[in-house]
Amino acid sequence: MRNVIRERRESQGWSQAELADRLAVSRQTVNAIETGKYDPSLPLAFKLARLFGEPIETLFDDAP
Amino acid sequence: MNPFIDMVRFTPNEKRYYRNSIAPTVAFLAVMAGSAMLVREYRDEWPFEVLAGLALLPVLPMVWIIKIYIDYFRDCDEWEKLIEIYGIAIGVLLVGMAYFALGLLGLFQLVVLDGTLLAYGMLPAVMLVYTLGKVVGRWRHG
Repeated sequence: MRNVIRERRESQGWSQAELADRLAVSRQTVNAIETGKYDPSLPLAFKLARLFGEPIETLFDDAP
Repeated sequence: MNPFIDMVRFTPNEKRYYRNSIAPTVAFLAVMAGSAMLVREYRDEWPFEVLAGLALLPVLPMVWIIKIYIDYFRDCDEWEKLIEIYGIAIGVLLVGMAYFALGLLGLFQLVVLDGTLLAYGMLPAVMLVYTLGKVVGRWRHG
């Protein structure tokens, strides 16, 4: 699944480690999500949406 | 970030796990050496129950290590749990399959298997392949 997490994080000026701290996950987890190799659980997706102040569907795109 | 570089950068949870594993690992080696020495020395003098207890003593530090691993797993985040499960699944399935294949060779009397060596080597084999499975999991999902 494609996502814009990296763009949103960089626009906030956060490193992967800073975003990981805010989400209470490891930096590797943030990296795996950003590269699209791992799709987060619904609770973590909601956390991301709340953190960036956007709905989940603008952060994640499941279109082929 | 390069996922292979990430593999050698430990998270606080991983650091705690490795730090906590030192004592039971040292205990295992010490108990193993002590048990082997005592059983060999007093095999003909002490009753079977005592010798069996001594021989099984190294299981205790292994249980301690498993408890530390369970604590580590509990504190993993969701992606880390996926990688752990990936490693465990690959470890158990591949070693199980290898044992099954060896069993077939033994069943058809094509090879003579040392059951003691096989039983003793199973857990280390699972742990080794589990580690390789984690590397594969991180490569695929990291």
